[in-house]
Amino acid sequence: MSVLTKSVKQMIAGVAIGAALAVASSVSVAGTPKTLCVWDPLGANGPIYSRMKDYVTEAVAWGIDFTMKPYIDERVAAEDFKSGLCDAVNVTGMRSRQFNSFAGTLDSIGAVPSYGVLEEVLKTISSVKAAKLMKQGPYEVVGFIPAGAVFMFVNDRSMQTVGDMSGKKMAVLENDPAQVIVVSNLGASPVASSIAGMYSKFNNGSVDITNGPALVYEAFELYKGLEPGGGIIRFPLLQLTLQILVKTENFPEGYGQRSRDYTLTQFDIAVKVATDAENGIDKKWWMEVPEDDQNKYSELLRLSRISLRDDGIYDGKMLKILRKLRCRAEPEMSECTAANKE
Amino acid sequence: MKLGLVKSLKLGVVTLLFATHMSLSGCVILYKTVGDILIPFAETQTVPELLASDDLASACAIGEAFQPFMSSFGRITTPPDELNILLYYMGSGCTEEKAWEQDLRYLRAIKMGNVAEAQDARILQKRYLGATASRRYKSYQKLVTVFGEPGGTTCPKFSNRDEEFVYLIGLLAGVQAVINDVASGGIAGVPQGIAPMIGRSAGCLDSDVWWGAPGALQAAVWTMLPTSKPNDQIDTGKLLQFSVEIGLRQGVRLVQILEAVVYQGEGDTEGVKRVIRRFAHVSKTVPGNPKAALINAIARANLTAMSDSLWTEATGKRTPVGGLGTFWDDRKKEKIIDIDDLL
Repeated sequence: MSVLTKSVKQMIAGVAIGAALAVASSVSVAGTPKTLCVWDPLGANGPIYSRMKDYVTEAVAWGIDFTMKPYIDERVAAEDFKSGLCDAVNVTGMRSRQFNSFAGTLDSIGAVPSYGVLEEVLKTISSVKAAKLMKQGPYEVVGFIPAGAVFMFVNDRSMQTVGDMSGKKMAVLENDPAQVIVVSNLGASPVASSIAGMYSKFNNGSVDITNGPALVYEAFELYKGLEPGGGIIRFPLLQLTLQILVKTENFPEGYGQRSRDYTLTQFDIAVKVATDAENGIDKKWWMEVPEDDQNKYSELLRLSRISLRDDGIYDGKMLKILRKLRCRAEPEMSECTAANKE
Repeated sequence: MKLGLVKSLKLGVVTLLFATHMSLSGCVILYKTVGDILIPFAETQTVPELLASDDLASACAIGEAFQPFMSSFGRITTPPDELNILLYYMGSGCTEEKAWEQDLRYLRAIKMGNVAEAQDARILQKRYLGATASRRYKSYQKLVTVFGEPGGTTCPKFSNRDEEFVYLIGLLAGVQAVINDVASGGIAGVPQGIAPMIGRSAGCLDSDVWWGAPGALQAAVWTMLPTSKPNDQIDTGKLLQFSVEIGLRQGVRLVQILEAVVYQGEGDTEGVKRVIRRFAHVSKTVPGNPKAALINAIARANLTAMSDSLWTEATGKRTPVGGLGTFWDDRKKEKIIDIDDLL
C-alpha cells in the first residue's frame, strides 16, 4: 500500500514537474521580447511599417511583445530572418517562396484575376484546416496582407496584345525567376532589377515595360516613363501579397492561427488602399484589354505557371487550389475544362 | 385712403431696402478696407513678431484661430494665400503635439500589456496625425496657388526674402504632410507624388542662405525615394551632413528635425540619439538666431518628442526635466574613487 502510494506520489510529482516545465517553456516562448523585422521600401516612415505597428499592437493580446526593426532592403530582411536575427519578418509572396513554397505560390503570375477571388483564396488558406500547409521546416506563415494587383506599365500604347511585346525590354525583379520565364514567353527581353531600379529604368527609357501595383505610380513618378504615349494594361499580372513569417519554435502554440485570423480581418482595409491607388491614377493611362486578348494573356500565363510548377518553382497544390477557386468564380473559363489543368 | 396707405407702405419698404443696401455695401467697403490693411499688417508685422518668439503654444493658437479669420477676408478681397502657408503650418503643430501624446500613451499601454488602451491610443494617434497631415497639405496647396506646382524645370521668381521663407515652409509642410499621412493610414489622402517634386524644388532656394534646410529637405526626400534623385552620383548622406553643419553654424536647428527623421526612417536609433544629444549640446553652446526663435522652438519640440518616445519605450516615462540629450542607458564616465584611497 505504502509502495503504491509512493509510486502514485512520484507519478503525480513527475506530472507536476512536467506540467510546470511545459508551462515554463510556453511562458518563456511567449514572454521573451521578439524581433519583428519589417520590410518597407520607405523604412519606418512607410505605410507597411505603419500597418505592422497595428499588427504588433494586436499581438500583445496574444502574449507576444514585439520590437520592430525597419528594413529598406527586402533581401536583407529575409537574410536576417534566415540567420536568426529576426524572430518574424514580413516579405512579399515572391520572397516568401524560399521559406514556404505553398504560400509563396500565392503571388504566382495570372493566378488570381480579381480581389474577389483573392478574398476567397485567403479565407481558404487561412482556415484552421489549412494550418498544416502554413508550416514548412522551421518556418510558419502567419499572415497575408494584400498589396494590390500588379499591372504592366508600357511606354507605347501600341503594345496592346501579347504578341506586341516581342523584342521589347521588360524590367523584372531579380529575385523572381518566374517573371523571367513569363517575360521570355511574351517574347520580350527580361532586365533584372531591384524594386527601385525597375522604375528608374522605366522612367529613363532603359526598359520599355515595367510592372507594379498602382501604389508605386505616385511615389516613383511613373507618369514620367508613361509620357507621352504609354499606358497601363488593365490586366492583373499577379496579386502582390505581404506575408508575415515566424520561426515556429519561438512562438507559442496557436499563435499562427490567431495571427492569420487577424490579418484576414484586415483584408478590406488593405484592398481599399490598393483600389484607391488604382482609382487615383489618371484615367487616360489605363488601357482596357479586349476579351479576346484577355483570354490570350490568361492562357499564356497559365502555361507559364504549369511550366514553372514542373520546374519546381511553383507549388502544385497551391496552383490547384487557385485554379479551383478561379473556376468557382467563373466556371465558363476554358481552363476549367482544359485537359492539362493545374 | 386705402391707396394712400399702400403708397406709404411701398415707400417705406423701398426706403428700408435702400437703407439696408446702403448699410450693407458700407459694411462691405469697410470690411474690404479692414482686410486690405490687416492682411499686409499680419504679413509684415505679426509674422516676424511670431518668428522671433519661442512661444510655440502661441504660434499654435494663432495658427488655429487666425487662419479661418484671415481667410474670411478672401470673400471680399484678395485671399491671404501666402499668409495661409504659414498659418496652416503653425496650426498643424497643435494637432501634432496631440499625436505625440497619444504615441506615449500607446507605448505605456504596450509596456503594461493593456491591449485595449494601446489600440485606443493608436486610433487617436492616427486621427491626430491625419489632422496634422491635412493642415500641412493645405499649407502646401497654398504654396501651389501662390508659386505654382513645384517640381518643374523652372523656379518661381521670388520678389523678396520673405517669399523665399514662405516657400521653404510650404515645401517642408508638403514633405511632413506625406510622412504624417502615411503614418495615419492615409486619412488625409495626401498624394505621395508631391515628395519627389518638393525634392527638386528645394533646389530653388539657396541652402547657404536658408540655414541648410533646402539641402536637408532634399536629402530627406532622396533617402526615402532614391529614384527621385536627379542623378545617382549624389551622396544623400553627405548632403545631409553638409546641410546640418550650415544650419548649426547659422544658429537655426530646423535641419536637425530632418536629420532625425532620416535616421528614424532607417531605424537607426543610435543616429536619432546622436542628433538629440548634439541638439542639446548646441542649444547650450551656440546662440540661436534671434529672428528664427520659433523655428528653433519647433526643432526643440520635435526632438523632445522623439526623445520622449525613446525614453517611454525603454522606461515607461518621458525625458526627465532638464534631461534632453541624456538617455536612460548612459553610463557615467567619472571614475569612482576607491574608498581605501581616502581612508
